[in-house]
Amino acid sequence: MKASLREIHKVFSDGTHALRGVSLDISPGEVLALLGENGAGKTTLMKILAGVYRPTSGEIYIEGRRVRFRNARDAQRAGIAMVHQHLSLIPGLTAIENIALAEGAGLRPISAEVRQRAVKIAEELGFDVEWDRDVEELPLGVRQRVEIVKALYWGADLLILDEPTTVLSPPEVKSLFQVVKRLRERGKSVVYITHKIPEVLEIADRVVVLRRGVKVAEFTPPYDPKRLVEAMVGELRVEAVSRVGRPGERPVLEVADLWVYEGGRAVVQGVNLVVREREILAVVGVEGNGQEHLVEAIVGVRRHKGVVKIHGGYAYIPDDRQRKAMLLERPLVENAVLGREGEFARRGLISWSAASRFTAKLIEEFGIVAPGPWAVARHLSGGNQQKLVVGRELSRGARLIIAHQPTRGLDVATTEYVQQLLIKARNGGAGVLLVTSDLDEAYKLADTIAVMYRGKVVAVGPVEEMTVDVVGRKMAGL
Amino acid sequence: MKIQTLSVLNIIAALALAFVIGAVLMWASGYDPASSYYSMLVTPLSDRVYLLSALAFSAPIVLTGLTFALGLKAGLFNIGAEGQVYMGALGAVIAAYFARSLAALPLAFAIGLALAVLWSAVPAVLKMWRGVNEVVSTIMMNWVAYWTVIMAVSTVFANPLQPEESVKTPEAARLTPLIPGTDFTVAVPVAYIVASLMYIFLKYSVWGYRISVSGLNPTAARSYGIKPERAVLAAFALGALTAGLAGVLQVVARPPSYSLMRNLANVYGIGFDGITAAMLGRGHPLGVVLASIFLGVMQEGARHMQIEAGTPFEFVRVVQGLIILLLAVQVLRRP
Repeated sequence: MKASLREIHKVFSDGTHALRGVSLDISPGEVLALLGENGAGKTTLMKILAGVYRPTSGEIYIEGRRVRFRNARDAQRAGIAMVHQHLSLIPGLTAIENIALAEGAGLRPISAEVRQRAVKIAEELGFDVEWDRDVEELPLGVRQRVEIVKALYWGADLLILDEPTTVLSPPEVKSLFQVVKRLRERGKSVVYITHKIPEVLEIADRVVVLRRGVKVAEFTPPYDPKRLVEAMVGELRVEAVSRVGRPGERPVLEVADLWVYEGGRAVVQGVNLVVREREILAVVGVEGNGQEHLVEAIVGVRRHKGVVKIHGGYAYIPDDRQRKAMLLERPLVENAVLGREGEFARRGLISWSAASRFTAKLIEEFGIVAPGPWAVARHLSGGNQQKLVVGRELSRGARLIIAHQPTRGLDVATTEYVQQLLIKARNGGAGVLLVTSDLDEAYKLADTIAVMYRGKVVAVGPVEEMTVDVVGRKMAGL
Repeated sequence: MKIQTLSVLNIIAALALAFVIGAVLMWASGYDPASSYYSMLVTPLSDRVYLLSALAFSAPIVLTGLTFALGLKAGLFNIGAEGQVYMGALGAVIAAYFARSLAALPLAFAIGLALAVLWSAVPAVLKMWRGVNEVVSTIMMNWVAYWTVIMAVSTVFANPLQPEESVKTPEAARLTPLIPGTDFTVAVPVAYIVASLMYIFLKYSVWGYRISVSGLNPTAARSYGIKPERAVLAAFALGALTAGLAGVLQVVARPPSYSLMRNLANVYGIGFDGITAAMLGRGHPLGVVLASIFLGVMQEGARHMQIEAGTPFEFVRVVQGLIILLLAVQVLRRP
């Protein structure tokens, strides 16, 4: 399908100017990568093409004909489908039932024709699906394939994949790329939204780079990764900070013989940890080995047995900001005072003007892209939401910082920025408990590394002694 | 429930459609919709006495509307105001039974509010300890209150001179109309002041903020040291205070009876009207006041409609029911 976007502007109701006159052409049988940092406007642009949002101004042409989509259904009829970052299959229904729903067909019995068509589409793309299982039981990678089949079943000629690899494991990523290539062979257009350079190198026929709502560059193979990064990040440069000085002696967090149970099962089994001043302790491990329960026990959200001693208050950057750290529907101001509302109150009344000044300061200091303190948090990009949470927490001046996957899902520049902030806080005397499944991050930041496996800390030591080899084997339970 | 997300347009649409459907029903039943609506909505505004009477109708609705609105803030669907109004009224009757002097007044507030809070403590505690859905438990408590209060008013606290109502508030303890010849008592300014205080509480107080955080995202609240259980408790207790206040005022500050009817006629439905007011007012305390005044006008208008247009006053209930239904449909329609 040939689709063209002309001079698209999008201003959200809270004043966020997400797109500033972007034009884009998509050709049949092409894989176009839309590259950019969090908040560059990639997803917004594609949601406009997919009929989810309406543009504030600008025009859309399909096969040379001007179209106006009122909703996603309109776009689907025109052959455009979007596979969202958070998949939109209906839980409780099987994969085939989800497909059948696509055309409003009855659920029971699923007609043989529906099944044949779905199986055929999947075969052509080179995979098979257990069609009769509840989609909730299917791995995320498979669910994504079901979404793709659903889109094609609908007759999509242009598929938009929004950050499709975020939820996938490395082998799943490989097979997704296979699927994308098959789609291209069959003459479908694919728009691939991402901020990951390696993915672009592997599959894109063409790359368009967005930055702060503007199309800044366009590349065709062969790609120079360095130039892609420059286009994406722009002149934004973060000063490099490294750890200075040795960890101190005084502990800021002491955990002794900590046990956490879930449904009668011990998920954390007798963990002992000490975080000292001027120390970053990285707890690494494959996700699901009790790290989440450990953190939640320390911050008091989960019941536990054992001792948790925190000296001098703590800041908390949780792994899932939207669920655990934010009020998405509320203004930034209300988000900025969360957990420290008492600091802005006199005689029990909160001074919102003081809170608003504080929020403006956070926006400025931490480079948050937002129209102002009263903007609604939902309209910020993921990276900027994370900056707000990190800014709020680090500006508490707490002596203990608990950071759980603090850079997950963030783009290159923001990841770097958040990591530098943690090192700065550490150099300033704070102790950091960093829980991460990203080994690079652990080695970059940590003074001390602890490995968690099946609820236990199986190894702990200074970063110099914990070689990658040792840590890798301990993570695997060897 | 995302009642706060209803836009002003949603509300206007619900109102307009409710009145249109109401008109069709009147017409089908052989009444004239135009003159009925004129008497219902315009006549109350055309005369000072009628208007003050409409405001008197609005006062208890404001207070129960606040109960529901506060519950929404905390993430609750608290429909227990109805029963708490009965208990508040019963408290005032108990006070009148034991104290035949001015002392009955402070006693009425003390017993009435205490009973109402006690009544709300049951669903609150059930919710916190066992996770019992507050919709179910508050409805049950409403019915328990209904029959308990009827029993009390029919037996111990019955008025030997007028068997259809309870003992009357002693004259010294009555809050009589501020403007003679009307129903406008101190209850009206009190209700509006309580609404203003609620507005300040929710918007500016640390506790109001914590309640709203708990309602919006209990997980985030917990992560940062706010206990959502306390917000639930606070919303139930404060809500019971305003609902209980409505009940007390209906007895001590509402001419002409200054008593509780044996069939609860002078307190019945106030809690449910509060839900309508809170939905129309988008859960905002000052919105609740405006919506309550609107409902007060309709209730005052009901009398005029019956007299002037000959349309049974139940049609006001019909229109109100339609409003709720049409608002609810729009709330549920949203993903």
